[in-house]
Parts: sequence; C-alpha cells; structure tokens
Amino acid sequence: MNEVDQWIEDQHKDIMKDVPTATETAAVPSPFLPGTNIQYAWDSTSLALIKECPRKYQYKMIDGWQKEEENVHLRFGIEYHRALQDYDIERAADIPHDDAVHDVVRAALIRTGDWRSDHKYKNRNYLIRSILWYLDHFHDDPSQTFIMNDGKPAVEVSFRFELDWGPDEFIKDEPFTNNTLGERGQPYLLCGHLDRVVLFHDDLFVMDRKTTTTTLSDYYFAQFEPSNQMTLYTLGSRIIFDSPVKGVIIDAAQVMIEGTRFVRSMTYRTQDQLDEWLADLRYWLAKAEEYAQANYWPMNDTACRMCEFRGICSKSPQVREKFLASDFKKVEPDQRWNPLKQR
Amino acid sequence: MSNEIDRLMDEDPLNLSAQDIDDIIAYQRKMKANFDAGVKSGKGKTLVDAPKIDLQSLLKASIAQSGTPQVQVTRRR
Repeated sequence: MNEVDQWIEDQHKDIMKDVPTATETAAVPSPFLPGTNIQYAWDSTSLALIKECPRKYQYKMIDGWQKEEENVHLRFGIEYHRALQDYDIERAADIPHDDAVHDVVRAALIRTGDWRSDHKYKNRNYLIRSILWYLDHFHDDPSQTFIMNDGKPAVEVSFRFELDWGPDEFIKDEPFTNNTLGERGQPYLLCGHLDRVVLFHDDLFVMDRKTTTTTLSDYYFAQFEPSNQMTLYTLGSRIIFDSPVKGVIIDAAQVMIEGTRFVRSMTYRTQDQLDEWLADLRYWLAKAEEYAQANYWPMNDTACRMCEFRGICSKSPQVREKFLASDFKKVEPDQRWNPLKQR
Repeated sequence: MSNEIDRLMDEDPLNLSAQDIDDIIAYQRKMKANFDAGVKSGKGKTLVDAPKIDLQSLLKASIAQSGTPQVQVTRRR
C-alpha cells in the first residue's frame, strides 16, 4: 500500500471509527424487541416496506427472503458510494481533482478485483465508468462538502435518534442489557445514513446519490416528492446538525450500455411537511406493532405491479413457501437488513 | 472497449502501474466526451458490416429523373 492509499484508508478509518467492523457486526443489536417481531429501530428502507405492503415487509424483514440478484445491485451501490465518499474526503483535504480521481479509481479497481458480475448494467466496467464520469461531470460543482464542528467532512454520516414514544408492548421486566437503550422502556429509534451534506448557495442540503437503469425523466424524480426516504433524511439531518436543512439534492446516475447519464434534482421539505410525516409515523408504527402482535401481515394487493414477490403472492397460499424457497434465498438473521447496522 | 483497456481491466489491479490507471482514466474520459457529443460507441452499433448508402440522395436523384410525380385523380362512379 502506497502513501496515498494509506492516507485514504486512515481518513476512512477515522470517519468510520464509531462504525462496527466486520467482526463486530455480529454484535449489532436486533432492531426487534427481544422475543418479538416488534421492530423498534426503523430506517427509511424498513418503513418503506411496511408502508408499501405488510406482506412484503414480512418476507424481507421478518423472514429474510432475498433475491440472488440483490447482491449485484448492493455491491454496485456500495462500491459507487464508497468511491464518491473517498473522493469527497480527498477534495475536502484540498487534494486536486485529477489526483483524487486517480486515487479513487485505483482504489475501486483494487476493491473490485475479485468481483465477477454478469449483470448487463451492474458490472465492474460500468462501475468504474460511472464513478469516473460522475466525478468529472460534477467537477465544477457549486455545492461544497459541509465541514462539521469537529473538522471532519460531512460524508457518510449516520444518524440515530429516539422518538418520544415507543412500542406499547414493551415489557419492563425484560430490560436490555445495553445501558444505552434506556431504562424507561425502549423508545422507537429512527436511523439513517446520509451520503453527504453540502452547502449549496449558503443553504444546507443532504446529497443523495442514486444509481438506476431507469430513464431519468420527470417521472423518475416524481418518486421523491413526497418520499418517505427524503423526508426522513431531511428530518434526521435537521436534528443532527441542529440546522434548517432545506431538503435533499438527488444526483441520479442512469447506467446504460452506451454510457452513464447524470441528472441532478432537488426536493424541499417545509417544517409543516416534516411535522405531518412524524404524525403519520405514529400511526404507521402502531400498525406495524399490531401486525407483529397478530403475527399476520396482510397483503396489499394494490402494490404488486413492480414487486419482486409478485410471482409468489400470485400463487395459492399452500404452495408459496415452495416457490419462495426456489426463487429466493433465506439469509441468516445477522445478514438481514438491520437499521442499527451502520455502514 | 479497446483491447488494451480490456487487458488492463482484466489485469490483477495490484499490478497496475500509475500509467495504467491514467490510461484507463484517459480512455473513459474519451468515451465520456464521445457520449456527451452524441457519438455512439463502435460496439453494438450494427450486427453485420455492410456498405453505407445515402438514401436521401438516391431518393432525390430518383425524383429528379422522373420529374414531379403525376397523381391521377379518379372519381368513384
């Protein structure tokens, strides 16, 4: 490892020092109350699932069913975000653009050296292309990484905060061994992960980077307004930065055969919208708790069109488990989506 | 993707020199410039190589030779 690689790695470690390492991730607490399917730690992914369809939530969050292809999208997204994060760290340290690009491309090539993907779009060549093209495309970006009070650049910022209410069924004689979880009963937690926080024309924005194979049209960006994820990000960033963050800048990358195309869009949230979202959340979490107590997650059959489980739910209930086992894999509990697992 | 870049991408990344990385970056920048300019990449453009013909000029020549096409108007009886 040369000096530059060592420096990037040190910076990355410094930023991620509070994040559990691979060996520590097994110790990440479950987002569910012990012995129940009542989830107390929520992020935008799990909230989106319960809002979209309780049955889909059950398949993914409770039972851990996952499509093999998900790994490809996950790996592509992780590597893309990691590379852009490394670039942001270098630029915040005044390293010139071309040098930072060189370092980031080299590091991405090394990290993905063993990655073999036959996916038409989400493969190593298109990953490297997308990283490099993004960095050049936004080279003269007027948005600047926000530098936090501790002097660190606000990239890959994880947040977690308590709500002032919790699941009603929390049993006080089964206290958590982890003292940080409180003594008055477990409140709900909202968790999230911000790619980057930027100053854009003197206002603070969260920046979220997306990769997609969908055409970047008004129709694509309409999904972010309203949006569970973008509202939570705005809310979370306002709380952790104690500052009126305006909304989210979405940098979307459309990965195609002939190239990668980038479009930037912005979505704003007012305080009233955030308050309304929080008020709605109270009802959503109560519903989730109700499903967990009944151990029954009803199917929302108006949300099946683009759902990966459509082929399962369209089968007769008696044979669904067989089709799940053949079309999906069940991942181990510690490998399942967990809002408490920091990146 | 050129053969040279294919070779570099298949190489053990730990063996890549700084120049190799720069070559990959330069290649991708060229591809981006072409993409931004609307130039299609050579790959996947056509399935079979065939000589190009200028259909527009052929059509114009054909019209010029035969003059303005006459349209016969017939009435239904």
